[in-house]
Amino acid sequence: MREMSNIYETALSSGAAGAATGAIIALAASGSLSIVTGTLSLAGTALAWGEIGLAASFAGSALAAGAALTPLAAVAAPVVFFTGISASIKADENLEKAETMYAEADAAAEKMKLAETLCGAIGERAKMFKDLLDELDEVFSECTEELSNMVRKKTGGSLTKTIDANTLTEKELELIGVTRSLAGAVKSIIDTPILNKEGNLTDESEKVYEKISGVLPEFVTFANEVNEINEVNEVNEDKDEALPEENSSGLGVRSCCDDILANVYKYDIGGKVEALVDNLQDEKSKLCDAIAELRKETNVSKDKFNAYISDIFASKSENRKERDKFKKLLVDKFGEAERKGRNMFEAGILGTLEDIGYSIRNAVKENTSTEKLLKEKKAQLASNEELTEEIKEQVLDFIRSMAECIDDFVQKVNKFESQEELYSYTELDYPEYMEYGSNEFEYPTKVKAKAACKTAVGFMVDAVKEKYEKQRDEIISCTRKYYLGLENKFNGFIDEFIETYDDYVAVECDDDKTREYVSSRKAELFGKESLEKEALEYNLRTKFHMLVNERFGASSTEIFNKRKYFTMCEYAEDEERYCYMMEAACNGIYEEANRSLMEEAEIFPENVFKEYIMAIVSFCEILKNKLAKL
Amino acid sequence: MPIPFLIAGLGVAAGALGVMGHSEAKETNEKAESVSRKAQKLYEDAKDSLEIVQKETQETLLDLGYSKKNVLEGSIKEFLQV
Repeated sequence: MREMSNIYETALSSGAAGAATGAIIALAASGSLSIVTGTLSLAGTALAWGEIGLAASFAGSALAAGAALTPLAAVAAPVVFFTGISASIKADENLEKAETMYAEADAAAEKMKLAETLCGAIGERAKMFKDLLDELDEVFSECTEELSNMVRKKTGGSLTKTIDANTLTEKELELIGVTRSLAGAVKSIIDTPILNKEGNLTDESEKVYEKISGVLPEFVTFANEVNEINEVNEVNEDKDEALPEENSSGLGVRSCCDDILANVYKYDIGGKVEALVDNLQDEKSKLCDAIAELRKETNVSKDKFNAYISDIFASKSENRKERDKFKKLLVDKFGEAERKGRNMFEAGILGTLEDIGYSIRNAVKENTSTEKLLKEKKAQLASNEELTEEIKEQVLDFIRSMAECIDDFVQKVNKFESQEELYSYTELDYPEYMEYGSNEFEYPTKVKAKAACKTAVGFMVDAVKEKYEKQRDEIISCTRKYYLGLENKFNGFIDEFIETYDDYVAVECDDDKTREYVSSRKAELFGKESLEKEALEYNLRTKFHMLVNERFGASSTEIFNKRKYFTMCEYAEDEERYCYMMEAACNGIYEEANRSLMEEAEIFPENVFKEYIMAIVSFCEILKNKLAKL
Repeated sequence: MPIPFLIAGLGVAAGALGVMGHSEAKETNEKAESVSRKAQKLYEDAKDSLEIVQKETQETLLDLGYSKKNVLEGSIKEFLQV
């Protein structure tokens, strides 16, 4: 069903607020809408909905007519008229009248208590339905998306092509079946009235709730399986994805901006970034300027530049968790105020760009330094009259091979990914203020309440700090474990490089004299002892510890400033007893400590990686400089 | 001569009775006022409490209604368009 216009219209999305509210409540309570217009077209479906589908019954659901219920009218307060005491009638009559009013008020109050109970039950049932519908819809929308992708692939995007059921795999058939069941479950939740005409809870809603909440876990399991399969497919597709074709060459530096943006948009959800970029020309211009600057700085061709970008994005997209995190960050931030959204956009996109730039700089550095090395070496050898042309050529080939070996290593570490879990941290527990004696009226004077509050805040801050430090250590430890592999690679490379030297002597140096010459320089230039000594300067473990001290050394002082939280306390008095209230202090420290942890969880591993890569690249530069001395 | 005294005496007695009767009526009226006030308070308190709960319930129903609306306009629409 490709065309379906206006399933229902819209007292919901426009029109008088009161009418809209009434319609929404009616939809909530009864599952039907009284104000419905529009038509349904059943033409052009790729899947045979006649067999699979619930389309017609959904239309029925949306179109179900009926008087809009005003469910809460049934629990309206009964009216009691109160009249004043009159001087013109006898006192006894006044009293009698007042007692009658009291009896009526009492009866009305009883009815209202009952109504309150009913309201509470309605609210509870509505909440249960809402939660269930939300959970169900999360799974349903995932499966629908998968189904939509599957149909698009099978039909090649054609609106008229239908799918032969025989061409579907078992998993695809299962996807159709489960999505259909989910649609049925969603439909039940929407259609089932939770209130009857009298405004009472229906038994039917209870039964439907029990039935659907019982099968929800199976749906969730299926959706997870589909997701896992999809993740694998996405990775494969990302790997296979061809680089964007270049239409022309030699375009200006700014001209590749759109290509780069297109790559950035791969991180987009629902076109939000793209829409924002289009709306915020300033940001786009800033982004393009940054790209232009980067290209100018790196001085690489457009083709090469794009190849680097695509490579970086392709390798990044293999890490779904990373990508999802980035997406989530953008979506969360876009949900906030526009100003914040803009700032985030700037930080997010330009931050990404910075990462891109960083990787490009390294990639370019490795290539240009090799080219430069060979060029210089060639010039140097040319002036050496003692060596024959053959020897010169062999020495150059040897140097090229060794330099390539170094470049390969740099490339590998640039794409490093460990098997370890990098992001497994949870949020801190909320410090329950009641556990710290807050809100208890037990102090005879305000000053005593203040003193007690100070002590309580001290305990609370210490407790949160302890948990914070535990989590922080966890971040450090996870990062350490994650990058231990990189450290090992680096240390292993030194041994490997020495071995490779001998191997390349055998491969590239055919002439005895060349072999003798190159081998004789090995001990001096690349002796194990000398290399290890050089490597010590770039010791990754030391760099890690330096980073730990730098990032975490003083950062917690401000977060755990007891005085700051003590000033957030409030005090109250009741019957000459005082209490302190530390809810604001608990909220404050909770938010601050959590924010700091989450930021560190994000930034610290990135910094470690960058620091490691810089150290490795610098060390490799030293190796190349040594090669130049051959 | 004693008659006027008697009359006068009766007048005094009647006056005393009138004062007593008025005082009782005042008390009764005050009691009636008090009962009336209590009745109104009882009613108003119950009404206020009910109105709060009604408002909460209405908000919860609105939440559910909007969820249904979003699902109808979101995933169900998408599902029907597949």
